[in-house]
Amino acid sequence: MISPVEVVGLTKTFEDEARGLVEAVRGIDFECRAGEVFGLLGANGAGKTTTLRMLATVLRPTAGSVRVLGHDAVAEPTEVRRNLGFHSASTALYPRLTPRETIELFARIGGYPPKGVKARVDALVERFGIGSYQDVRVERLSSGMKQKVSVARTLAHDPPLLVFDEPTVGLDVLNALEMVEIVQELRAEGKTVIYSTHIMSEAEKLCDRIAILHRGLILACDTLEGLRRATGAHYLEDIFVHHVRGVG
Amino acid sequence: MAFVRGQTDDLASRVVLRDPPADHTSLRSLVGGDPRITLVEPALPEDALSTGALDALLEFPPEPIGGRKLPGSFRARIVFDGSKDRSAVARDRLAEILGRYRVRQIESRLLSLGLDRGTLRPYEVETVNASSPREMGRFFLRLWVPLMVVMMVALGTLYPAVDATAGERERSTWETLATLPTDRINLVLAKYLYVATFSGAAGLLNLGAVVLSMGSVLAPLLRGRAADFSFALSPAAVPVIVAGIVLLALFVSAGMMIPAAFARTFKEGQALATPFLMAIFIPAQMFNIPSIEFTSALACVPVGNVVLMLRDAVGDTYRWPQIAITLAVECACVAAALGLAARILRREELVSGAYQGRFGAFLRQRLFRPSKDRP
Amino acid sequence: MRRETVRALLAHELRLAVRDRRAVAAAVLLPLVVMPATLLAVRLSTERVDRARAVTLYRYAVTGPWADELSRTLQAVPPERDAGTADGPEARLMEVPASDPEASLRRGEIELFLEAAGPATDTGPHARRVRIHFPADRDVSRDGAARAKAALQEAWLARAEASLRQRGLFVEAREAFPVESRDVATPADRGGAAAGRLLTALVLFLMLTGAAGTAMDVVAGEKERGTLETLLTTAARRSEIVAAKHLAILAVALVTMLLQVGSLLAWLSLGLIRLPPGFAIPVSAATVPALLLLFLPLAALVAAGLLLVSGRVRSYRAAQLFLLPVFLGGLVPALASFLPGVPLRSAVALVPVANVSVAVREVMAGRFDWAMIALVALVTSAAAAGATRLSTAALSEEESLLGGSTAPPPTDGPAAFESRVTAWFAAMWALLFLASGLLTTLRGQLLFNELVVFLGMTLAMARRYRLPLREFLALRAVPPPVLLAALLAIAPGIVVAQGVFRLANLFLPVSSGMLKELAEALRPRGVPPWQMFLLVAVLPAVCEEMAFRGALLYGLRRRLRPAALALFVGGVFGFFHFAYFRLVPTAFLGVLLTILALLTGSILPGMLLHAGNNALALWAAEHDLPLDRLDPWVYAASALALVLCFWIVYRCRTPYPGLRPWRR
Repeated sequence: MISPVEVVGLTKTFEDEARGLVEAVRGIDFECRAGEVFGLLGANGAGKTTTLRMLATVLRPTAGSVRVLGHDAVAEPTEVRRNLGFHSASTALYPRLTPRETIELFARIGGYPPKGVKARVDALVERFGIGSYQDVRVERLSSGMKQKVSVARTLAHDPPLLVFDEPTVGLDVLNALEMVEIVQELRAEGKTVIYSTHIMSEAEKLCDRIAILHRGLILACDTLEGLRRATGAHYLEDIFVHHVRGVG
Repeated sequence: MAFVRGQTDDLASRVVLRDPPADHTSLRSLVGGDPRITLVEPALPEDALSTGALDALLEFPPEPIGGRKLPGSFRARIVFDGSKDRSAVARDRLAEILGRYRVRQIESRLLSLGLDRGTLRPYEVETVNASSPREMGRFFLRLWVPLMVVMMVALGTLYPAVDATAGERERSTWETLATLPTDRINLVLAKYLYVATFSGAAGLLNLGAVVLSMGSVLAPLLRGRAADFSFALSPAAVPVIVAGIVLLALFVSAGMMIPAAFARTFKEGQALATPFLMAIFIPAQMFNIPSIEFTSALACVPVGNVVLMLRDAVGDTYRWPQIAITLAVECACVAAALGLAARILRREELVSGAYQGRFGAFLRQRLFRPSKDRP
Repeated sequence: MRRETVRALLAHELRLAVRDRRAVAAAVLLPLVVMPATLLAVRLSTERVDRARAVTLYRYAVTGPWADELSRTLQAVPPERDAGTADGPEARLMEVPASDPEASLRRGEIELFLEAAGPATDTGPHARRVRIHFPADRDVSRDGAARAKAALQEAWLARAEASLRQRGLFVEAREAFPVESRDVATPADRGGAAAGRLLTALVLFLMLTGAAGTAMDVVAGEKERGTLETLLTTAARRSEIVAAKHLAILAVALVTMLLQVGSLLAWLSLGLIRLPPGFAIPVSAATVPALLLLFLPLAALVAAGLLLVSGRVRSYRAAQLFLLPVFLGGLVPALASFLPGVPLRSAVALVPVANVSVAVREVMAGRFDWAMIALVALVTSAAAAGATRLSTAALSEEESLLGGSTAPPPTDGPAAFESRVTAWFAAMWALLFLASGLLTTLRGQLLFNELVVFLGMTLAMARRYRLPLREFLALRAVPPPVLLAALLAIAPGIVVAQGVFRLANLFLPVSSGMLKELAEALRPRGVPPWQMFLLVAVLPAVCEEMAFRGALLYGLRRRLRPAALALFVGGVFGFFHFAYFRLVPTAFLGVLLTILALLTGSILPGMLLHAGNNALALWAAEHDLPLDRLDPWVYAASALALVLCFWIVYRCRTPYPGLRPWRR
């Protein structure tokens, strides 16, 4: 059976005006299993977003490979994106579109069968409870409403793999909780989810396996229980600090 | 322009000389010998003229019967195609050659009839340009500088005006400023002076650049007569010009900041400020005609009066009453615009972006709601 | 490319464009109102001025030994013979007494004065002169002078006729050797020719102004808002995204252009804008399809160009700064229709925008060369396709998509210099340009340019950014064969450069008069040959090589790949030499010198080649050698020799350090 995601020796190097060559991701390996929520945990600047952008074919790896459902991200980028829904704090919505128009657009360009687009849009509108403002322009919605529209947009073309890059940044407690519930529902539906966060409680609650990323390297990758056994710590925060401080 | 000149100068005109009069055999060598003309003999000259293979046809139709003519005279006709530049140039060249020949022929006929040269050519006529190189330079500068200054001040205002208002909201720093321990009017004034400084600087720097570089730019077109032009401003003109630019900058800055204040993003702000930008070009264009006199009536038209004042100052002419009226009118416009801007920009709804870029909503609320209901 | 995806994206882009009401108002509605208002305002002003001039009195004074006679001569010109200018009947000459005509002229009391120069009594032909003194910077004085000259001409004719009548010959002088003109062009032909010259520039201007806002927003604005990344993570291919955006910009450009043209036609029919009497624009059955065939690819090229700019910058605001160069870059070639000696069947057919301009001129003049029209459409379409491809590549450029470094920019050292080198050279160019107008002697200009601008500012850069001089100026030793090859390349180099100049002349022919003027300017009298050699050959070789192949190359070596670096530095070198009609051969020399520096890591061989080139050019000018009129085989042989010399250099190469790889 093909893994939804296989990452081997993935490396990304940037050229910085002031600092010269900077290795944001340094030869990481990991694999996702079908139907799991795989967590990428790390502080700011650890390389989480860079890794996920390479997965989403927005960035090109300097070395190594990324395969999504058997498709190589460099050789078959369109196929990768067809099977992937990417949600990030930097993937904004079009302010002058309504939620309905937004979902319909992304369903169509995501390759959803044209005849089924309307039904798909109706289903997502109902699922996320955005019917009362489905025809109001996004620029007039609150941040909580925008978040729901954004997730609906990510699911519009029904991809098997979903990538959430710090989706709860800037949300209040209730909206953040709602986000976590959505991810749990998606897992229950059989979707594979890669969830990147620096919030320990979210990772604890959601993730089947967690990879700890620090300065471009994966320091540990296991279930929460496995991480606890390896470090002797109980809370994920302590586990994280143990690994990070060990690197120095 | 230099390329066009080169094109015109160097192209030899292809001319057909059809049946020159028997008495004037030297015509062929005169026309053909001119380095700018090449005599050709296409099969069908009229067709060649319309296709552009021929530039002009010189023919000599028969003289009409009767009329009072000089013995030995001929009638010449230059057939050309006015829709083609080369043909028009050929016509001009032939007209010039024939004109000279005509004068010589008339003279020789008259001499043969017993007239003496003194009677024939009592004097030569020449023109002398009484303007100094400085005056000629100012003539050119007057054509360009006033309109260009208005344009540069306006364009130099647009970016800072929009950035200081809509740009702040886009960066979410407007609220940060609003929480500072100072009156809002001070914030508005500071922004206004920042925009006006950039605007004035744009006008002054551009003016300086034009004056300094006009000689270099025009030199290729002046064909060795560059010494007849001196591009410099009179010292007395400088304060007048600076005053005009400063007042214009102050007025335009206030005028652009008002609509831009309603925008939430730079792009919206630009769209809102552009109508004002376009509106000030109308009087500027209208008054930028060299022969318009700077009257007291015209001195009351904002922007246009500055154009006229600058034009006169560049030409070293000072109509002090009109200048005084201009300064007064511009000051009044600045005060009015500034007053309006201050009133609008102090509204906290603007700070919070409540109007979402809708200037009309603001007007309706402020002007048409009963005063007791207004916040 | 999937049609459904492109269609969905295109519908989305158009929906966003239409919903941006303010942008629609600014780009479409305002110009519909403002342009006619401006034309009306100008028309009213011009009519007012013309009415004032129609009643002008040209006041003149007469001075000189035979002033009375001259005065009588002018006053004797019969009114019906007063041809003058095309002024109305109220415009006339009027003599006023003036004791000091020059002072009166200065004070504006008179418009001109006539000086009756020569002896008081007529002593023979050419003894007397009439000098018409007038200030050429005053319109009314110029008109008055023209009128006075014409009146004197009429006076002479009347005098000649009177003398002939005395001898029994009743002759009208006008009927002696009359020359008339007959224009075979119809008003439609003339109107078409006039309109044809301007039409392309007007259409281009309308499209650029109408579509610029939308174009800057579709990529640069989306980058700023973050929606571009959202789009890039979908299954839509880059090419599909670019195609949809390109079509959207094209649609906006065409619609706004058509609206503006329609508005102009409406104002014309309402009489708000008046055309000259008799002006007509020909429209035949072939005109419209021909214009469509020419303007549609042009619209596609405009859209592709704007999209490319938008794709390369990071924000809407930054995109605004590039709009003016885009406008100039588009509008300047559109003026090719004003070049009379450039037919459509020439190399201009291969130059985008200029080819459309010349083709439209021909079409509007009623000449339909369908084969060339098709070629022009093809070339323009190919250029649009090329620009679109570059836009697709821009969407893959990570740095422009995601922003650069978050670290603060360096303020000192090589990194700081690299980010500011172009600003320094822009300042140098501005200084040279200003100095060219202020310094009048060749010696002064050369010394200032070379010592103050090139050398002085290069050393200032080194000091400001604390750059190691040897590395900064590439002052490295080279093997002797390299120097020999540089020496041998001098003669073939200059010949090949002249060949390049001849090729460039096919596209933009240059007046031989201008070339002569330049050659004369470089040979000032009174300057000894050794000084000319120093000023024209040695000094530029040393100072310019330090500036261009030293400082500029050092500053850009990490930003551009070697091929682009050679072209850019060579192009800048050409641009700094203000004889723009020689831009191409000078830039060619610049490219050769840059390649030499890239291959050897040193500016020393370039100095040798540069000095030799300039010295040989000077010698050739002194001896009137026609280097630009040689046989083709000479150019070919020289090119071969040049290649051989560079091959020697290549074999002994020590590449310039720190360059980017030649390819990705």
